[in-house]
Amino acid sequence: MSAQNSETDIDLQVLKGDEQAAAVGILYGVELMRFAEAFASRDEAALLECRDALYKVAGAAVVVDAAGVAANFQRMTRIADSTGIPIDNVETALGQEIRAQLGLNEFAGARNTFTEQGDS
Amino acid sequence: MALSPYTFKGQHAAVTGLPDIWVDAVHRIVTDQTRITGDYIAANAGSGLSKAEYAELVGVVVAVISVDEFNRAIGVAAETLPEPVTGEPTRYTPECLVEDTGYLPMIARDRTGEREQDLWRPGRTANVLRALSSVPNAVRDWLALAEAQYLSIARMAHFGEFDDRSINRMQMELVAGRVSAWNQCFY
Repeated sequence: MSAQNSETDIDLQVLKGDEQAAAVGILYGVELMRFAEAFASRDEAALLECRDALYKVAGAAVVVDAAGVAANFQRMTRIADSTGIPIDNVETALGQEIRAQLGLNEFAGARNTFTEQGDS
Repeated sequence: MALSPYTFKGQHAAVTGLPDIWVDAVHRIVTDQTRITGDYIAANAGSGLSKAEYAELVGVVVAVISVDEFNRAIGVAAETLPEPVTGEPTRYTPECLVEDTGYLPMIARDRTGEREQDLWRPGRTANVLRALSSVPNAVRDWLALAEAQYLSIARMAHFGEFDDRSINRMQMELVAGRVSAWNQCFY
């Protein structure tokens, strides 16, 4: 939606960690992706390096805002998976296409959408 | 082959007097959330951690996580936790709870009680908004954090630039997408 809104071409494979894709249409895309991955993987040495790299190309405000988003999704992913909620509308064609392209159905959390609740 | 979370028996290190079942739940919410099941939550409900208590526990844990993780991301020490105060919980239960999806009772999608009308408009909600709604203040807490760290609900439909942010929506979603992927979060 954001790419459509700004009439910008992006490569959705960026969401799978594709660095070439991160360089398409997103300012500081590669640095933001590396920062997000270092953060999420809890590789503290890499986080230090990637935060510094992002800071050097984009400045402190970008680092702070990116950190906020990253922290936000450490919370939101845990709300979703700790409560077993399925996604709200699994039937949309666009959603199905994107999930197929990105292999999202293989995620551990997908079972909350595609299986019976209350499994052991 | 992944080991079952029940393979090994043991106890987590803790510095509080919380019951073991609560400490174990905290551990799972933080480090193993994709393997939490409805059976696990139901079993806890019969063993000293009710579903409402679990919902509130999730709310507290994820709120603290998001602050701690922000600090970690920018390279500063975690905040000092406040001193606990004595008192009893209100045990407030909202109206219109249903068990229609997920593992916990949630406020119904198409109606809210009088005291929860600020959470969402009837019919204009999502499971992630409803997830902790058996404890409405847990929802209010994370909405306030989301407004600071990411976006308010009102701004979710804006997909461009923001005058109070230094990154645009595409950049935000790139970070959000990679963190969520690492957490194997399908939602």
